[in-house]
Amino acid sequence: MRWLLAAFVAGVVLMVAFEHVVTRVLGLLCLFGFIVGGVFLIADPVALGKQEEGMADEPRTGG
Amino acid sequence: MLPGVCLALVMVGLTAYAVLGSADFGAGFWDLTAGGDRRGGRVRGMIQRSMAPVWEANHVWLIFVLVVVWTAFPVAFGSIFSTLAVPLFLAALGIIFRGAAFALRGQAATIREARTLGALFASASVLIPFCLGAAIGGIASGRVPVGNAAGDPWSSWLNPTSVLIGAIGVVTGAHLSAVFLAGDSRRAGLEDLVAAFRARALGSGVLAGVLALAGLLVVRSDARELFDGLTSGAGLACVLVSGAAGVGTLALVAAGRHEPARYVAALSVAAIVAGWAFAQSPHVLPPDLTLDEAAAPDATLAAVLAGLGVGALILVPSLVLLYRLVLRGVLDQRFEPLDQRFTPLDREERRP
Amino acid sequence: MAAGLVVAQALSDTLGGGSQPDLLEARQMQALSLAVHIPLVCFGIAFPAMFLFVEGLYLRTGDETFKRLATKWSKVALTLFAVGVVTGTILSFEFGLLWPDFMATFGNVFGIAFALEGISFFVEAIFIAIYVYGWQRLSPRAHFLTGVPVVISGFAGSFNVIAVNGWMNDPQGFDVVGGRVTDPRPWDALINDAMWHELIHMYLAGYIVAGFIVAGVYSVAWLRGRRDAYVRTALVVTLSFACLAAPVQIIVGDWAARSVTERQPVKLAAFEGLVETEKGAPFTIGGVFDEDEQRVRWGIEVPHLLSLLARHDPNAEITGLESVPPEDRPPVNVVRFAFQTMVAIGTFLAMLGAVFFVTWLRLRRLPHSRWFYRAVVAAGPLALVALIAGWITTEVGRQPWIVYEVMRTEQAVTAADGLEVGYAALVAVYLVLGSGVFWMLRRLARQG
Repeated sequence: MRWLLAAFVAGVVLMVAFEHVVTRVLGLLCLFGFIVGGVFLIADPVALGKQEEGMADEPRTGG
Repeated sequence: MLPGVCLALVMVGLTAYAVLGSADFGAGFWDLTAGGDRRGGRVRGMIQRSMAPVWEANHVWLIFVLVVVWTAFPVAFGSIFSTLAVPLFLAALGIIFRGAAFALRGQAATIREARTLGALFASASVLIPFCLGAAIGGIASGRVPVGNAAGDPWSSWLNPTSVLIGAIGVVTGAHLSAVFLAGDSRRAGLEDLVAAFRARALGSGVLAGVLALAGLLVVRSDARELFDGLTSGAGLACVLVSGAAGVGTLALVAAGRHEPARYVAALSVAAIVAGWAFAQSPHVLPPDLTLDEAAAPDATLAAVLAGLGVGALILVPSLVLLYRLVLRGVLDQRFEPLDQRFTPLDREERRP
Repeated sequence: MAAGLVVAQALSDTLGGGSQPDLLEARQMQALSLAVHIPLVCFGIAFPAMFLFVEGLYLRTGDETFKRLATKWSKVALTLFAVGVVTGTILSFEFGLLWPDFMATFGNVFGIAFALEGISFFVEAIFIAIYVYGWQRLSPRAHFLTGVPVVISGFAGSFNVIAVNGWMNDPQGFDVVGGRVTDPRPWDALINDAMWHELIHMYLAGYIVAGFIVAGVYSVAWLRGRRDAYVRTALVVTLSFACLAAPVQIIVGDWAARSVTERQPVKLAAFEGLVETEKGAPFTIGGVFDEDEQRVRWGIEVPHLLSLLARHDPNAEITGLESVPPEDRPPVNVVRFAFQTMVAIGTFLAMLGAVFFVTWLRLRRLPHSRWFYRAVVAAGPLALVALIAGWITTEVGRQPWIVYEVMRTEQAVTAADGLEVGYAALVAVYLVLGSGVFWMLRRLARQG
């Protein structure tokens, strides 16, 4: 998780603070890494399975 | 040399579209005339089953043709699309309807919905080959001058040659489709359908032949240069090959040899497309624009060939894979008779 | 789609007509067809990655729920792809029907990109057919592998098309000698500077639009009480993609804006309605640009903000509309409104994404709030509006040019008559097609 956030922040800094091709490419790589890594981390089957238990215990919240 | 190669590519693409796309269009025609629930159900089921896996791949050839023409022969492209705007626009609308009807078919919940979609499907299947054929006739008979909408918007495609070629396009499509469907039915082991499609293939084939012969007479009086091109030299050779292949197809179908019949039928189409190119040679837009005048500079032509060459390295194996899987039956869906809603006949009761 | 129609109409009203009446119809027809096609492209770009990801989950766990979901999604993708092929074919026809002089003059410069796009498109058609019809017929691993070319060709196709659009904004790879285009250098034209930000921006937009629309469908199920694994998986996968892409899109948008500032300053000036070139230019939120008075009225002016956004320097000089004669300026109100709509929605989507992500960070689960899911249901259509608004911003912002500073749109249009008939026919056809697709997707959604 920590790496993900670091990748996002690094990507933002590289994209916004600089104007060179190299920083652009690196920045984009960091940001895409954030997205792809994030998807794999969040949509993890183990975590999805655990959701079930979590759901069963939670009272149905309104509004 | 380069312009010739690019033109050959266009002809290959056109042939592929004419053979594969026509088969799809023709299917729409047979679907329309398939008849009611019970009788037509099996015919419709076969049509759906055959078309499904290769439907989009078949139609991408048209885009391929457009793209190569507008890159390699841009002035011709602009002239064709501006003068022949009406038939080409109608064909485009037909393409929308046809695609939508085919994609949405299986979702129709009532007979009325399905009948509407079916009618749309079939009418578009007749409109498109007619309009494209008429456009070709307009080009071939020298009615498309160079320039932005320089030709007549109506007589350029509503003239004897164009109407005839349009009609031939429709009938040939129906014929090809029947030939292919007979072969598919044989592979599926559905002999009653083999007989049904065989009869259709023979009937439409004979009609196509009659139209082609009548066609030559019409072209002789309407577009003399085209006639001369088709009856001499390479043009004549192609016409003869096409005719022979056409007769050969009928013979093979009558004899029940359906797999070879596919290829011979395709050869017949390929030959006449080539014949058209030779008959017009050296013009792309008779009588004014020759191939060399129409061609883009060498840098572009080389880029097209290089790009397509690399692309072909990926595309050809992919196509081979697709057709292998189709012909080996790996991608076959279960055959089931379909009613006019294109839903399985025996599942009617279970539908919500 | 309706949004596209409305905007296309607004577009035509404010444009005030070109010198030839047919020019207006031609632009509207093109805009309409693009508005119909581009949302489908989003699914072609992003949906395969999503269903392939879910199939990957199935292969890792053997859980049939994942397989059912992946199968369902791939079938929907195939139908959408088929409709996309059809609408794309129409676009190809329209290039010739509406802009024959553009094609005749420049076809040999940029055409190669479409040849490559045709190939990637063809490959996508082949493999999506094998994928959808090959479930159960191919070994699980082989089947998964056939999905990979679909994802790659989705990217390749957008790469090639955007390359052409980038070229239209930043023309290169040819010379103009004596009024004629000579010496085409297709590869130089294809790889141009403007395309990169356009490509990344569009590619992410694909994931955002497709992700939120599909998530919206399952959010409706969630709001109705369905909490089973199937719905949860669908939500988690689609929301992950969309919610993580949305904030990144803002950063890419910043890059895009700065690129436009350098290459097409008049377009940027239209984003704001900035008339005079000035340092420390403000950004006016909302309001209407008054053509007669040449200023924005009723907006909220934020000082220095435009300079800050466009050049990351609050006192930077920003070029104004006055730098070019009036006939070289784009219609300001359409561009302004579209730009601000896109940014507003984009910001909302990024915030929604942040809610999702932060909930996951802290609680390791989906949000429970009903308001979140209502927002997601809205996010799909809103993302679509933002997508179209963005395309309007860049396309109308490029006017009066079809090839920036080289060929005007009015020089490119067909001389054929009667485009009003064609336009009416096209609108009717799209309405019918649109309702048909919508009706079908609703049925598919109801079936789960």
